[in-house]
Amino acid sequence: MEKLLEVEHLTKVFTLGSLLSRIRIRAVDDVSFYIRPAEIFTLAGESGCGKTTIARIILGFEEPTSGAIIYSGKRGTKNEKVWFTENVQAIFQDPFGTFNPLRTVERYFFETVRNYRLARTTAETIRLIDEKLRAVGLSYEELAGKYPNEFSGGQLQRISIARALLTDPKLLVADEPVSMVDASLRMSVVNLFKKLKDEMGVSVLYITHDLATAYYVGDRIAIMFRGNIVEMGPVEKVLMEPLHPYTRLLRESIPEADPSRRWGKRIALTETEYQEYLRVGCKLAGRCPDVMAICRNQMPGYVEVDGVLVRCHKYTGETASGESA
Amino acid sequence: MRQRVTIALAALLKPRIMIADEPTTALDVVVQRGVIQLLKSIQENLGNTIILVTHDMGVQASIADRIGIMYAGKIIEEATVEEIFRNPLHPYTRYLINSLPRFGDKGMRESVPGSPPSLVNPPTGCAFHPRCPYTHSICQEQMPDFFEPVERHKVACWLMREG
Repeated sequence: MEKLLEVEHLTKVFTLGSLLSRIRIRAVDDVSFYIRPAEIFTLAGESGCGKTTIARIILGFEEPTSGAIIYSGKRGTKNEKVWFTENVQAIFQDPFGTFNPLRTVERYFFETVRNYRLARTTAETIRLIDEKLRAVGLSYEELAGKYPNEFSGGQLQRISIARALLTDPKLLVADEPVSMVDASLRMSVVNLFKKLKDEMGVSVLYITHDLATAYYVGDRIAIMFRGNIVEMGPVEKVLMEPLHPYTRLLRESIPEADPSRRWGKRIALTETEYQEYLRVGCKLAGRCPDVMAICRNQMPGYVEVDGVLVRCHKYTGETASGESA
Repeated sequence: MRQRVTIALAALLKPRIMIADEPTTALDVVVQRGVIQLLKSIQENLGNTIILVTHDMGVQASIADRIGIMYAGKIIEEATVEEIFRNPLHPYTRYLINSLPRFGDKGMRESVPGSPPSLVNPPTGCAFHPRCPYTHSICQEQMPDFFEPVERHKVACWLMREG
């Protein structure tokens, strides 16, 4: 199977506090996954689960404590990043923060074209910019001479995508690309990822906490919790028949836009984020409905259940007893 | 946790009305559920009113009794939560509800066409008319008043007025 990007045993440790009371938090803990060509891979989880840290490591903003990023067979090291930026482009969360309000939007396009030497003449440059803007449903005339405040969040986000497309990337890393876009315009951005995948064969690493859009647009999904991937597989399976208790909790907690399906039981909120990070065993053990004694002492390994990778003692136990029987 | 402290502070004087402006927008879904359920139980205990300001249709569906949909500074539709989701009348509300992705359904979802209105130079007449697929000439000239085509379901749209 062809893999475009592979993340191998990625770990990132942050140290908090002063010299005397030092706390080490494993923000990303031995995470491995891969993205195929022309695939939308979703990394989902709550804020603080490590998904943005993974994006930052892939983009080279942050160095991993251990582990490696492999791009079409090539292992990335600290010194070689040039081959990387042309093929991997980023879309950020805040469309209003991405652009400097005092610069015209088109300048970002001209700069990218110049930095990568994508065109020789001005006419050629404008033709290239227009082509990429048309791919996202805009055009150069709509953009020329305008400042960021003259566009809506949805438009700016599509402009960001058009700029990223200038270098004909193979992979877009989109970190919460719609969470700050007006609800009425969100789908225009999400549909665009689908279109780019289908028509241009671009892969997308879609990082989000919004499981409904992940289900809508994604091919495969990894659910992260406190630095670990706890479940990974095709979206239909993971989101419609979740195996891990955390995926179930997430799935049940999403408020559905349907007043006839309100939440049933009330849930308890107890531990804080960093207490959970410091747990020795499974990070969910403090609030898991199916918790067992082993969960508090030992982090479960991955088990494959019906094409889905899951990290939970419920399933390790089952396979163990199945083997011995 | 901090939002729960804020809610406790707000509930301290047993107010008749609590205004919650996007109370869970910055929170994760699991915490969001806890906070919303907490708000609801306080409201039931005190028997008071909550004005919930949010853009999250899911949160509204989960907690609200009645919903007013706003567009460009005006409430354009108002009804009970069941009625809004079952029978949205204003084209904008319909777009909002139909654009929401749902689990188990990968069918194409469309955004509301066009861009949000400029509030410096708001469109004439009904502010939604430049984005509305059913626009008539009257929509460009005059903002419709509230009209009650269904009992306890008000909407400001010429389409409903003409029947």
